[in-house]
Amino acid sequence: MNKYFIISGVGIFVMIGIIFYNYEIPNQDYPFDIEHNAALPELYGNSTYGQIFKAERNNLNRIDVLVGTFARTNDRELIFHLMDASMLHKDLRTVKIESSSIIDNKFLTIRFQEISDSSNKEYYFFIESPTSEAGNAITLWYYANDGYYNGQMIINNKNLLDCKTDIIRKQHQNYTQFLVKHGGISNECYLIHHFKTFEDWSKFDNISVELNSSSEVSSDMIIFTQTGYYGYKIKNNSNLLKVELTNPDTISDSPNLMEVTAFRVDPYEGTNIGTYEIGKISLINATHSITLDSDDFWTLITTNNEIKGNLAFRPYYKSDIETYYDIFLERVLVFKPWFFNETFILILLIIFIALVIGILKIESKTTYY
Amino acid sequence: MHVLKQKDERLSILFCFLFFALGLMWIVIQPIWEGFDEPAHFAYIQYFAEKGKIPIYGQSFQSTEISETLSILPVNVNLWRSGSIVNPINYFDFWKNFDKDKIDEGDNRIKNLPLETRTSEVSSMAIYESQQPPFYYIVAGGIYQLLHDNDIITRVYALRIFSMVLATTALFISYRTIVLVISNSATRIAILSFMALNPMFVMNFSRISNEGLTFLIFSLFIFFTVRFLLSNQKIKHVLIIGILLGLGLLTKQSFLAAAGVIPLIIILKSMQDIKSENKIKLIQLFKNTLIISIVSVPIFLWWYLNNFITTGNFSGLQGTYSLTINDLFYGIRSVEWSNYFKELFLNFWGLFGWSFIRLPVEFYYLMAVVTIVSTIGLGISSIKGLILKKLNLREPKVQIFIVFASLIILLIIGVSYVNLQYLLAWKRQLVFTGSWYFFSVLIASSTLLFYGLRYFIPKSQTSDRIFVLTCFSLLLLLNMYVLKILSEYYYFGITQ
Repeated sequence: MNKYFIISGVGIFVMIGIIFYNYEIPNQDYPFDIEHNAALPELYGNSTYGQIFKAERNNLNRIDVLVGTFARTNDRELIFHLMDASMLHKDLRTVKIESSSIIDNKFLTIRFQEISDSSNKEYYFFIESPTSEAGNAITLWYYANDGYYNGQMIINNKNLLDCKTDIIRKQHQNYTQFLVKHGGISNECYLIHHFKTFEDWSKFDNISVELNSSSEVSSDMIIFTQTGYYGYKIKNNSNLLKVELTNPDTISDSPNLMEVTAFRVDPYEGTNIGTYEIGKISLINATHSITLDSDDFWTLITTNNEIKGNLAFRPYYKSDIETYYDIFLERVLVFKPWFFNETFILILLIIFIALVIGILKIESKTTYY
Repeated sequence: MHVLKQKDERLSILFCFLFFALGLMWIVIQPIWEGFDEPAHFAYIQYFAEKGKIPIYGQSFQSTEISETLSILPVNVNLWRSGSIVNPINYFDFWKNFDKDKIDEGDNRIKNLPLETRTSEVSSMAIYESQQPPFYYIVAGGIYQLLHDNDIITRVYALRIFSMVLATTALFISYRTIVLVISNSATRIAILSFMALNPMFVMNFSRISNEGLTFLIFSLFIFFTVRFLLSNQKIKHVLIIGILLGLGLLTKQSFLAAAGVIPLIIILKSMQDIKSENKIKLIQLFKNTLIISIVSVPIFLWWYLNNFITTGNFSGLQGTYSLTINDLFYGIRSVEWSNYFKELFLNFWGLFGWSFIRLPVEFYYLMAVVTIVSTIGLGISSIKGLILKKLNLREPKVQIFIVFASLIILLIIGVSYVNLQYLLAWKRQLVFTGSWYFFSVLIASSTLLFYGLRYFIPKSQTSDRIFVLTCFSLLLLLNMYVLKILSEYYYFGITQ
């Protein structure tokens, strides 16, 4: 068989395989508001632009953000940080990006090693560029009114570190937020260690919640339930916080779902509350005890910036081929005529492959003149 | 030689089938109304088929049926922005709220739209394609009538397939032209693969528009022009060129570029006849001009007169007026020409669908390098030809290249002139222009491109094969890549 036929044939089909191998599925619940997008100010110095979002699938491996370059070439480095929203003290992924390669008003793709168990978890990413300066900096686009409720934009997360004092509770459609009102200039911020457990709480007379921290706890702790604020406030200076809840049967209308939020208010100005970790929580009564490990916690943080909304961003998940093409086939045939069906697509693909092979075969036997 | 040509023939037929298969893939993947101006092209066909008359700009409007579908189906962001659609939903939101029951409900609504919705009009949605000459819409109106009992989705997709049938036929004719012009068989196959696998080219003919028929008529026009220049003076060639010119001008205004090269073709042909007396045969020249005019003018003139009566200008273009010399100079001064040609270049190589999807920027740089290399190759070939006195204006093949280059230049001038009119009429900056107008003469530009590239390819069996295989492989992979990113955009909301 002609070597050109083999080399080109194998090469073409391998390359087609590579092109179609990239099975990435984006969050379907992402911000998109065509008429109300705007650019943030230049990103430089201590500024950070970030976003909290809830991952829809496993294998989070890419986040795209809409970037503006102010129609110029900027040459400073950007640093992308991805964190578990409940473990804000360390980066899960860090990516450095050269801003000189960024195209104005286009989505910038940031890829990283996939996170295998990302489904249904909250993440926080932010971008900073400490070496940039006014006139040599990029920006990010955001949507002011996009109907995205699974997170929000956070500008200058350094301010989060100063959160303290008053507490506000906010009930949203799908979840509860707890706010620590910042007494300062323009920020409200939140830090919640929050867990859900599915227990029949009505059978308990008393619940004891123990919070076992890996480091010494030195703060006030307030326990909430989904139906209200119970007002337990304990000062403790050991590794163990113990909270007693009485009359738990009045806590919830849904006896099989009990949601308890342990909320820590840091009394010390400037303390990095993001580094606080809870090792485990035990819910105890005389007859029953369960232990929740740290995976059951998640943290919500947000700020009440003057600019409200969501970054123009989109998370992606690496998919397996079967899931990807199942979704694709289901969608591509929507609102198509009756003669476009799965059989038609299969036949078309077979004909296409046969034609490519046919062309290569005849070409290999052709003598050019 | 006959056996060799048989292989060429087989390859060319397979390439045409591959082009058609790729077109079908594009048709399946592109959501309804995603093709450039597709609703307005369909509205024109529907208006003619349902009412038996040609729509008039400003007085005829798109049907309620189209308007209903725009409110049920996901539509591209740029159409969405037009503001004339009630409760539009874009691709992103549509898949975000993907609901099988709602889709079935929408499907039922579309299938059960009353017949009256095909003739009732929505006054906020102009048939802005009514500025186009009617030939394509009359022909497509016949297809529409055959499918009259089907729902609008079936009619739209069937008309897309019709466009691909026209374009595939045109591609085959184009190859016949290449055979006449290019002697090197490897270059012929490379040009054919470039045309058949150019993703912008395939996309342009996988939508409802008059581009498919324009390409077919242009291909026939170029084919017979080439035969006219290569053969002895034949009256049938002149007659056919006249008919094709008439039909072309009745299909798309871009055919004015063809009208522009007719005098050049006739003069060049007359130059072939110069004998020792060194004179052009004026009678022959006059005779050819007369035949082409007599044959073509009755075919197209009625339409342009009709335009003048209904809109006040011959072109029928919306919102335009005749440019005075002062206007023209003002316009020329106002346009950022470097930006204009950059846009023209970028849009020619890759601007996909009405969502205006672009390829990674590196691709355009690569195409710029290819274009520059080809231009250098053409330049060196021409200079060498002049030095060696091989570049003789009486040589038919040299004349064909001159005609091809003139067609492209006239099209660029024509498109720029129309854009200048828009600039002056609408008082806005000229930054965007569709480069799909150039695809109906892709044979001219691709012949020049590959002739230039060929200069740098050593002449041997191995290098010919590598040249062909490289063109074929890279273009095929480019097509696959574009289909992949478009699928991701349309069905997953992924943007590059």
